[in-house]
Amino acid sequence: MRSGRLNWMVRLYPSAWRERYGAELEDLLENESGPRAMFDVLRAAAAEWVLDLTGLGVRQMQTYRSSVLAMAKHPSAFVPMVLSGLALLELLGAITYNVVTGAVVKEAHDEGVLAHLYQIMIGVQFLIVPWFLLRWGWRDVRAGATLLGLQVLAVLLTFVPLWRVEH
Amino acid sequence: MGNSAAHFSDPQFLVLASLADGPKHGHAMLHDIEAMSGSRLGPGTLYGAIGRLERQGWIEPLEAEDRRRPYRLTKAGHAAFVSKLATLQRIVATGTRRLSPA
Repeated sequence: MRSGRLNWMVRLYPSAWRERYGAELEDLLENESGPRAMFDVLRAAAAEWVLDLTGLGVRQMQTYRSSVLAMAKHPSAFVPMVLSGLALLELLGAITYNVVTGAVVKEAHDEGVLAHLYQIMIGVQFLIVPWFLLRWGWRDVRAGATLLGLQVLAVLLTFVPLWRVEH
Repeated sequence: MGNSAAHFSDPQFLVLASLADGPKHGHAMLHDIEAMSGSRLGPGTLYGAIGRLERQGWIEPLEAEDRRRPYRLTKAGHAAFVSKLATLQRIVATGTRRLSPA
């Protein structure tokens, strides 16, 4: 193997980047020399370090998806979303039933079983989600934030039919 | 290359353009881009663009041949390149129209 003048510059990159692209860049650098190429590699290596340190580099991109999937397997991560899904189905079912049968919702002292069920499914999440964040979410902030965002989005989706009924 | 104003140097766009007619490895891309645009990308710039495009899912690596790994456009990359070309063509048409005497 020939030894190029700028091969050593590959060592300036973050280790995950080197593992992925190091051999290819090293091959390319065997034909490069001079301050212009050197400055170009220096600038690119600095940019990769910035990406690496801000969580947008090769290392994080390789592990992000698998981190989210691994974290999503914990019951405290997926149960809130399942509950929101069930609450949404329950609401849509009740609305559809009322529309099809022409039933009129009357003001009543007790809101009824379905309303209580909905409230329980949403309310329980206020216990599960903090537990999820304390137990798992903080261990990988990006994956935890992604799943928290999905949990919040799922709850917000259950509010849409309610808002439509009220307005 | 005497006329530096005539160079076009958006590295990601140039990599997409280089891969539009088939897979290439780094060396081939550098030569192709230089012949096509008049810009010689630095090796760091080239691999910065390759990394970003791969993370975006616009290009994908193929089996490495020794230390040289070819890349090719993905379907998303092809669509993105077509879209960028269309934008560029609109800019070129508008610029040309505005420069032409009334």
